Amino acid sequence: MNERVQETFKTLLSRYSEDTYFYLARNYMGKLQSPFHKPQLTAKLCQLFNQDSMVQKMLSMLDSFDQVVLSLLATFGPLTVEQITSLLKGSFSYGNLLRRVGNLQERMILLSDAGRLVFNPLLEDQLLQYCSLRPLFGEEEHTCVEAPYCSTEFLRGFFSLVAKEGKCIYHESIANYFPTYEHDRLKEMYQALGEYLTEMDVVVRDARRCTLDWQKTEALLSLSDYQLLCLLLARNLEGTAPLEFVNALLSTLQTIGGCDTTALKLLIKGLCIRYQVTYSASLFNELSTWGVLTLDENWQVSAINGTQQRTALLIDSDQTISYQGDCPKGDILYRFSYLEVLDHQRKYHITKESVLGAFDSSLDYPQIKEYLETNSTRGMNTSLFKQLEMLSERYQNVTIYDGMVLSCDERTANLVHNLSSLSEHCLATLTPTIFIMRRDSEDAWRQVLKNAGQLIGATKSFDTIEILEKKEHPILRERIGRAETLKQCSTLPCKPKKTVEKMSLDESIRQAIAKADLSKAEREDLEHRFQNRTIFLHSQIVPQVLNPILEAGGFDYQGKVSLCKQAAGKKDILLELQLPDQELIVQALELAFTPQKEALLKAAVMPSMEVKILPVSKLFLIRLVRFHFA
Amino acid sequence: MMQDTPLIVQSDKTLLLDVHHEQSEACRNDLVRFCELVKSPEHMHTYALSAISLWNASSCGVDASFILSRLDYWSKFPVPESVRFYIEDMATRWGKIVLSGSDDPSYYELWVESKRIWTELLNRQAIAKLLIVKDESRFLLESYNRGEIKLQLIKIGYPVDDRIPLNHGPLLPFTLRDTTLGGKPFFVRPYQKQAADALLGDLGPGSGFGTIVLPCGSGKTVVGMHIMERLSTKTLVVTTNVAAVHQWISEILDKTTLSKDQIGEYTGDKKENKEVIVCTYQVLTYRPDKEGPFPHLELLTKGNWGLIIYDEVHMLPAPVFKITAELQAVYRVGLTATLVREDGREDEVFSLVGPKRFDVPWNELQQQGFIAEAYCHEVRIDLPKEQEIPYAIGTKREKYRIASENKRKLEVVQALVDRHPDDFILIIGQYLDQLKNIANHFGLPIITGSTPNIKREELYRDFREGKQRILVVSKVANFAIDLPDASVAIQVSGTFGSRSEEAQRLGRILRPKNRSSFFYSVVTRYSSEEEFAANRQKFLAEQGYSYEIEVWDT
Repeated sequence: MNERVQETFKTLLSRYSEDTYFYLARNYMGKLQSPFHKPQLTAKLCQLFNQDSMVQKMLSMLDSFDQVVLSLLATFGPLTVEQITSLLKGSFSYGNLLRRVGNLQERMILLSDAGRLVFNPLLEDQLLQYCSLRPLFGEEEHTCVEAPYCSTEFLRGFFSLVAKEGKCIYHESIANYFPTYEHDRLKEMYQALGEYLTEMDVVVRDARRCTLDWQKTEALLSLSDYQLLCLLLARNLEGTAPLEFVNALLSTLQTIGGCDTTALKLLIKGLCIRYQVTYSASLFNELSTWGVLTLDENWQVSAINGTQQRTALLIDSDQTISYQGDCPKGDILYRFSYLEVLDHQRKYHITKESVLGAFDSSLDYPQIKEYLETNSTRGMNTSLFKQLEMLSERYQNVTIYDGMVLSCDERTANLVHNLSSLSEHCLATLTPTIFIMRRDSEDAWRQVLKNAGQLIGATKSFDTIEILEKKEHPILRERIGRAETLKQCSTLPCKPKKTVEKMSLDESIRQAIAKADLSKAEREDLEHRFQNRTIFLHSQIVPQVLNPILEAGGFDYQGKVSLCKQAAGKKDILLELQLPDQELIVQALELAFTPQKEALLKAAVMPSMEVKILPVSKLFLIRLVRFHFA
Repeated sequence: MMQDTPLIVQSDKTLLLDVHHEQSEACRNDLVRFCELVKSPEHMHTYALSAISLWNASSCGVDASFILSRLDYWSKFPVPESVRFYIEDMATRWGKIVLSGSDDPSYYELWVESKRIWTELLNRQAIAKLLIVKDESRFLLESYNRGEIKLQLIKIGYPVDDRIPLNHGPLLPFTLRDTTLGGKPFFVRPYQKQAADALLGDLGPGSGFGTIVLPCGSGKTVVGMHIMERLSTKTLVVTTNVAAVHQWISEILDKTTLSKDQIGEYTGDKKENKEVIVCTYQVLTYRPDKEGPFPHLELLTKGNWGLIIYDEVHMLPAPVFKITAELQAVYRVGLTATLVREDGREDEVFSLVGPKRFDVPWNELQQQGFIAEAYCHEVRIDLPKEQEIPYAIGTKREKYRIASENKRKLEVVQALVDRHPDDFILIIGQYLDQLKNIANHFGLPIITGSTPNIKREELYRDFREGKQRILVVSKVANFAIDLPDASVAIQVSGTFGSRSEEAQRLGRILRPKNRSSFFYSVVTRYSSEEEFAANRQKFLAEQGYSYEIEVWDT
């Protein structure tokens, strides 16, 4: 066993209180010689846990509950007892949870690290083999389903539609573009995407229309489907590491394939603790909105596929371009064509408007041509190239700089000279084809030019007409940057490598205890510890009493009072109280007596810590629970 | 999971066929049994599943399980659940409502499978008014409402299994000739036979009516004549214009054993009453005054026809729609190359005349040599400088006209005519002044709406016989005019963005011949004509034609 692990073990033990430390040491090593020398004792304990026979005995006594707690810690990292009880409260009673988690600590399977429970480092590798996701998220087997989600291909289509329509509002015909998406889901997704991207200034709205910040669209489309979903799911989360949280959430969901609502809550809450993210019930909606989960009796997880290599583009005579798979990073198809349908075969359509939009967004004909030539295999449509070339030529005939300089071809210049509705906006003629126009009436003379049949692009370099001022959005930039580094992380397997056998106690030890020369209290204490699986070596059968009284009830009023006294003010010990009508787990704060000498227990009821004063005589049974080892 | 097969079934119920895949032909043979061809560009053909196509399939015994098994077999990806559901849902609707005869010949009986449907029909006013309740599963229906009830029920998603056999009209025995009267060998091509088979089926209930879509020049008239021969009954052919009437008559005489005495013309000029009559839509819908009745529509309803052929069925005028709905007992066939209507009433044509029974991609027939290989060019020229200002200040309509009548087109026409010294050339346009100008300039004959029919016939004949190499024609020659040797068409202007006009004009030069055909569309650069031209070309682009663009500095 490597030294680092041993050192960690020793360090953890060294932090224990004297009381806890010696309680554990006595259990495993019997009566301790005085004076105590803790480092030596710890080294002995370390040796003990290095013995294979010892380890095997401990592992053989693991049961299904242990497996749940171990899996919980393996999935969500170190947790406090309160966090464990909170996460598992739907599946187990509170008292049971406290007892069993305490028991795992007594057995030194779990150790406390600054109040949070961790695996005993000496056993960690072996314990991990018993951990899996099924005990936490349901034993039923699920596999991820092929269901549509908010993929980068969807995002491309979305951008293409926003560019086409000049708005990002969902309407009924949007469904025709995304036939694989269920209508209500699509509406939610489309709207949520519109809101988020507007908030992040990817979609830029002005009074008339929406435009796109192409740099930001490119940045978003450089993400994989998985990374994009992480980014979207993390959009409203508050906390230290929202992206890492979502990454772990998605990874786990991809592994389990499906679960019920309780399990999903457990997963989200557990990861919220691990990544210090504020829990919000809206996460369920988010997961559903982006298509990660669908509810069909249980939650079904969509398979988030890795990028499927795109087939060569198929350019047909009707100017549709289609392909299967996913476009690579930096692909520009969506910038100069409009989405026709997003299905197995993705189809885009090149139109005059789509190409003009591309020119306005600074793509040029040579780029488009090169793209098409590089990415298609079957015979190229020369007519399409010619049309694009001519459109480009026509587009370049008229250029407006800064909303005032009009540089144009001879034909347009002829109009400026001869159309009074245009010439009245002309301040000066620099050359026969370059004019200084009135900037304040740009809208008006643009319209005249358009009516005259000219193709007018966006104003270059200045921002008054189509190109709106670009806003930097540091949060988006930072999040995209972080999302780019994310990849699906490894999780526990669904099934453990090792399964727990039906736990059986070593009868030879029970017999040895029975035969040993012990006082009644010693025997009861040993038998109790044996039942609790803290005694599994004959060497541990030593006459001593670690827990003087464990429970008292019925007419044993003095026993009950003693037990209360023993527990009062100790944070590591709880009392389980049985009243005629209820059962309480309490932390004993103080024991007081009435003038009539009646004992009253002042106790904080777990987990709410509501303080109550209970007459001891009314308590039917009191049982000591050692739950906290620190 | 992906298979190496040629088909992709999309969730929107379209089916994409990769025509370059080695199994595409076999796959297509399956698809045509239950899908409709939507478009057929050069790489990826699109078929669509629709309620009508599935009901037609059901009526022919092709059930949902068969369709799904074929789709599972051919589809590259798993068939989407929504599509599976749609097929099962639609196909199982067939047979839930059955129309059959009743004891009283003036009534039919409509049987419905369930009380739920029975109640639904009565709750729909437009349907309930046509029905008389007979019992809890049957209604009576006046026989003349046969078409209307079918139309209304289809609208609410219930097809009618019409088990009333169509009326066999008076017998008219004749056959197709092996050698035409002109001395040429004649036979019906395989796809023409398939088209007729698809329409007639076993002549039982549910067959004998429908629309056949075949490219221009592929011999739709022969399909019509083949159907006439198979039914051998009194026949009415309705076509678009008088020249087409004469063409039909001469074709029938040339290729069948029918004699002149048996074939009549019913047009503005002549009103003959024979066993086979060819008439125009125009004469059927003629009425002396706007509010008055259509006196010649009776030809349709009271002619006791065994078969009615609607040539260029996409041109079916609105008044004929209603009459056609009443002619449900007659064998009927619609023929067209371009079932696209700018008014979007294609579906009504299907529901009245009958569903599309046969369609074949244009490029497939081109590859097989049944239509000519055609090269399309768009020649772009500038507007003359003096026209730029009028164009700039004109209204939309004026702009289009100025661009269409661009004088520089004359020079282009000249150059194109020079480019094709041995071809037979049609110069086609929309604006008469422009056409007259061209005709005058080149000293060419011109055919317009005002050209008397006799003169038209004479000019067409001269063209066919090689006496006249170039003809200038207006839109009267858009449809149904067969000029077998024409191999070049120069379109100088058109009806805005009409897709069918473009296709039909190309169709004038698609008759197979020993040379390739060339279609030129002359368009003014940087004008609205460019945009209209782009729209006009859409239909042909969907058939796999692409235009080579030439920019000319005239």
